[in-house]
Amino acid sequence: MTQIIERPPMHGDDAEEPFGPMLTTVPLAARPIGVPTSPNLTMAQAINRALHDAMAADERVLVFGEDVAKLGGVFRVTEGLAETFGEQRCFDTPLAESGIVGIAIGLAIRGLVPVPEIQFDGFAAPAFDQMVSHLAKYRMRTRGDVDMPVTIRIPSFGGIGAVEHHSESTESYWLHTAGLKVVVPSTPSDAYWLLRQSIVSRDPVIYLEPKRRYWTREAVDTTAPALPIGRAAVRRIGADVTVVTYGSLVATALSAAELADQRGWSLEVIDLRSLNPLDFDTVADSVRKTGRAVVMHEGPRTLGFGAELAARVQEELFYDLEAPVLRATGFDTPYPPARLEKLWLPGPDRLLDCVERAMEQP
Amino acid sequence: MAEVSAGSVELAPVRLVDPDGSPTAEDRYSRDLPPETLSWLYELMVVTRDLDGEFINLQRQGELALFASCRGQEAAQIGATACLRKTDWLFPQYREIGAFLLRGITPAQMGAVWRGKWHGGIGFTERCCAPIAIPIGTHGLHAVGAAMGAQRLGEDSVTLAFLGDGATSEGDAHEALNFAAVFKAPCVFFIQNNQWAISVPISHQMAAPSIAHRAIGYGMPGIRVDGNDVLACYAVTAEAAARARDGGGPTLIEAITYRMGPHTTSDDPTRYRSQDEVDHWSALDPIARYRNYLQAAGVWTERLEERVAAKSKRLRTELRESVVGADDIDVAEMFDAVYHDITPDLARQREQLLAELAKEA
Amino acid sequence: MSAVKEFLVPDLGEGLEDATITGWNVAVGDEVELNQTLCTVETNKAVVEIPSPYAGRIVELGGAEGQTLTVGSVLVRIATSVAEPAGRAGNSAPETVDPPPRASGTVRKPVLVGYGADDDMDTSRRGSVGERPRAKPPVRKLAAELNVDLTRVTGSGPDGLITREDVLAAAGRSAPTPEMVAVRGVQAEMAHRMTLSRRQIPDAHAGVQVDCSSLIRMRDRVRDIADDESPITPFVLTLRLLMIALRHHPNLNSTWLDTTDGPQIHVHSAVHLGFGVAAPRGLLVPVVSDAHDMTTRELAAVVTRLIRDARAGTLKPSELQGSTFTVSNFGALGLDEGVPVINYPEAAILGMGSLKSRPVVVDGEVVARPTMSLTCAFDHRIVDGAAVAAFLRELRDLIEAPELALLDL
Repeated sequence: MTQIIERPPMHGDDAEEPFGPMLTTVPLAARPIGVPTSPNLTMAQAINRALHDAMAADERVLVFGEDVAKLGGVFRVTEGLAETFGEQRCFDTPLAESGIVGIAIGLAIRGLVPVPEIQFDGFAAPAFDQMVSHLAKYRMRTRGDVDMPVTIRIPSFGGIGAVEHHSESTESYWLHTAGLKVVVPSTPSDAYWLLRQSIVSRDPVIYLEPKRRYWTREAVDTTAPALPIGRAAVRRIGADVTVVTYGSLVATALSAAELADQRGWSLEVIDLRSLNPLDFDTVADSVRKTGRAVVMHEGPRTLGFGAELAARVQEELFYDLEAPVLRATGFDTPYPPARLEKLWLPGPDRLLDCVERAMEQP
Repeated sequence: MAEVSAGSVELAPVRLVDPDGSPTAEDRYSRDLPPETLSWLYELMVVTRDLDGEFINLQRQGELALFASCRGQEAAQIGATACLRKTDWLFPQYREIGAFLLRGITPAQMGAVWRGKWHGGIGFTERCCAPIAIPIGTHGLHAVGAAMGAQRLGEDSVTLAFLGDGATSEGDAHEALNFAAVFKAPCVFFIQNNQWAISVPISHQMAAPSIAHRAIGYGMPGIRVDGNDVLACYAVTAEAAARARDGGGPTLIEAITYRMGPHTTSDDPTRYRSQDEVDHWSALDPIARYRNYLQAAGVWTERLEERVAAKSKRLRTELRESVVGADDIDVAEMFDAVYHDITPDLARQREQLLAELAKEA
Repeated sequence: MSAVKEFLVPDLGEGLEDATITGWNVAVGDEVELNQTLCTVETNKAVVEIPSPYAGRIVELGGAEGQTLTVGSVLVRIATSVAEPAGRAGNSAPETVDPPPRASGTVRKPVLVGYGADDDMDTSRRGSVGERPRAKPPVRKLAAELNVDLTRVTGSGPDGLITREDVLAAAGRSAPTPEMVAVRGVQAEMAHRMTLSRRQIPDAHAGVQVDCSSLIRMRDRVRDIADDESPITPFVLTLRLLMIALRHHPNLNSTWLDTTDGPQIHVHSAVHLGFGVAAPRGLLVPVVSDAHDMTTRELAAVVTRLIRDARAGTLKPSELQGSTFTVSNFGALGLDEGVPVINYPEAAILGMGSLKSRPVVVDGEVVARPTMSLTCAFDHRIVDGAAVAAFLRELRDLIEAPELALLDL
């Protein structure tokens, strides 16, 4: 019997694919008077706020990339930073992704804390060499002499009806590259805190922003840190199937869980939040409880994160499984044209098909 | 000083000392360095060449995996590095043992790289020198970033990137030069045009009149220098460094020299170039000409030569002793070095490997 | 001290197999210096001069001019006169003057440090390992559970495969009898919910004995007035008084939630009361929605109907869901005492024992009174003993002196 908790009306409720319910919380004690609470922030605003606060907290933090300064970013995520902190700290670069990451490495060698932006996921490709041959390896190849405290922000994933190269899932490439950490927020609150933590980390972090969810709103408390990088969050408690996902699809999973309830299936939804380092313990605890796991992610099926997680789950929890680990993903085609996107991306239906299959194992 | 500004490049390289050792008529740059500096340059060049030879011997004796000789390029590397401060950052490709030596990086540190003991160069950054870069030309961007960092740190330091002729074809090199010019970064690009990128000659590497001419396209000063003339390399680089320090932005220097040896010890250059060409460049040898110059100037002495020979022997022995029979670094360190904060999964993998190795005991 | 060092033919570049000696620059007996050229060799790639790694006297040449040697075979032996730094194991022989001639190996030894092909990579570095017993994963798991050492079991399956029966026999047990009951339906659901409750909730329990004299009196008083169809039983009366007690102790009507902002307690505004019914299919827990809003009469009607429908098997699924507090009347089954299992994810459950005459002490004298035990099992994350004590005390007071309920009418 899962408690269905009432949620207040949210921005985007009347959109075609409703954003999933967020757990509203009933605080144990009243918040003390005088402690400022942040207003409701969109994810884009939360990221903007995080960049601002990070730059204010440490003068070594630099933000740069294409169109980030004067324009404030094509999604306005870097708005106001150049005005507030000046051109030396927030600046536009020429149109060259490899160059952007390359100079970030040089800046890091000199002890600065670069937070460059790659404007869209599909345009990370030109920067691949710098990320994989240098950024990931610099610390190891100097035996720890040089840290790379670089955070690369990349607006990522699909569901926005965009042209090509603006909806890619690049996480598998970074995860297969030893030396890179990969972080994916799903809520405005996590977007704020995971970015703050990424910037402070002495390791290179690829920070993938689910641009489809840029406009979701939530109260963001900038005084109380959320769970750290390397910790997953149970977004919904359930008893029958563990759904593991991240980024844009957390809301999709929660929405699907409502439907599942009507059909008598109780879903537990885990938001991984960081893919490397991975909080496998939270996943394991859940799968031990439910005996069934479904992984959901965008992008192609082959060698997506689902493949890695399925391998781990069956390696370590084989005897706890009632059913095989299933994956709700995109397909092994290049990303579809905008008009076909909705059919291609995994949604509640594809997820529930996997749930049904998992539940019907004898 | 020469009129070096963006917009035009002289094809004729700057030269202060002719191949036979006599001073040229070039009057835009000065040869007047203190005698101690002149001797120091000589010592560095000779020791570099001798050490280079020892590296080759060790490779032939099975003690080193590989080595990329810089024979013939001593004047270029040492001239370029000598005029900089110890706190100006260097970004080498991998053939710059002359520069490493000048900075005080030890033969043991260099040997560890070529022996396969570890990647890159442990301890190089303490000497304001980046580790070697294997992907060609990609480190130019690091040099630019470091220069932009120096600006933000309020330093008046200069960054020097060593690139080869082949490197200038790489996209990253283009991006580095463009970024440096746009941001007026205090970065000097020192291109050692040693005529060959493994087996591909410079004539096939580009259609431009010279490498330095590319500077025009980027809007930065470009200058050609005789890479086998240590004093010319010194003077031209000093000028570029001063320009950068004064906020005048980057310079592209093309040092014309020759790779006397093979690309690496795995290469056989007889398959693509003629002995005649090698002999031709032998006659332009940087060390021989400089020795003649010093002799005429009364700076070279027997004593200097003995001192240099002793230093050379000492460093060669140091290299040999550090390499032959060297212990491997503990494999567990590989795991610890990946992240500042190791991830739980990686820690488990480290334990897995150690457990695996324990079964061999 | 003299030591004879061997210099093996090195791999001169990226995986070469052999080298041909094109010319010797030294002969046996010659004194050589460190790095002095020993010979020239030709490989697939180039002709190279080989410098001596040692200073000393040439003792043996590994081959004649024109001969091709494989990489890893001996090129020269040199007697050194000074203690050299310890070379790699492959490059120096133990200290003898005339070592026996070594056959050039067919397996290439790693003479090129850390580079080039190394046949050693495809061989095991461990001593011999024994044969591993063959059994399928579930059988291995069974063996582990029964502490059976598979290496001591003879497999009776094909190719010596160890079977389940083999393991059971080794453990001294026979195979399970064919009579096995599958767990399904209501029992499965019960098993699932009980496990969930025990796994997730750190529970504790506390109890009181309640004198039900006043309760019985009240029941007798209203028996004639009330509706026969929906009798006002002591159970119903207790439930009504429970509502009052819960209103004053709302934390017992709540749920523990783990959220992204940390743990929270969701205190429910309504009381949806579940109570256990022993139905033919098994234990069912029908739910009285908004029980806090009902009068005693209304409660009696709903409870009666729910019990009837539970026993008939006609309850709707919605009537089995959504409880916020549960009562277990095991007293109706004849049990005096018991500790019920919390109905996950609620904060507490109230167990009621049998209502019958028992000896109690009143004014120093032992008398017979109708009593029942009330046991509250509770989620110790949400409430502690003191809170539960207060709750039980109030409930007991209400039952022993029902007129106190007037205060909250």
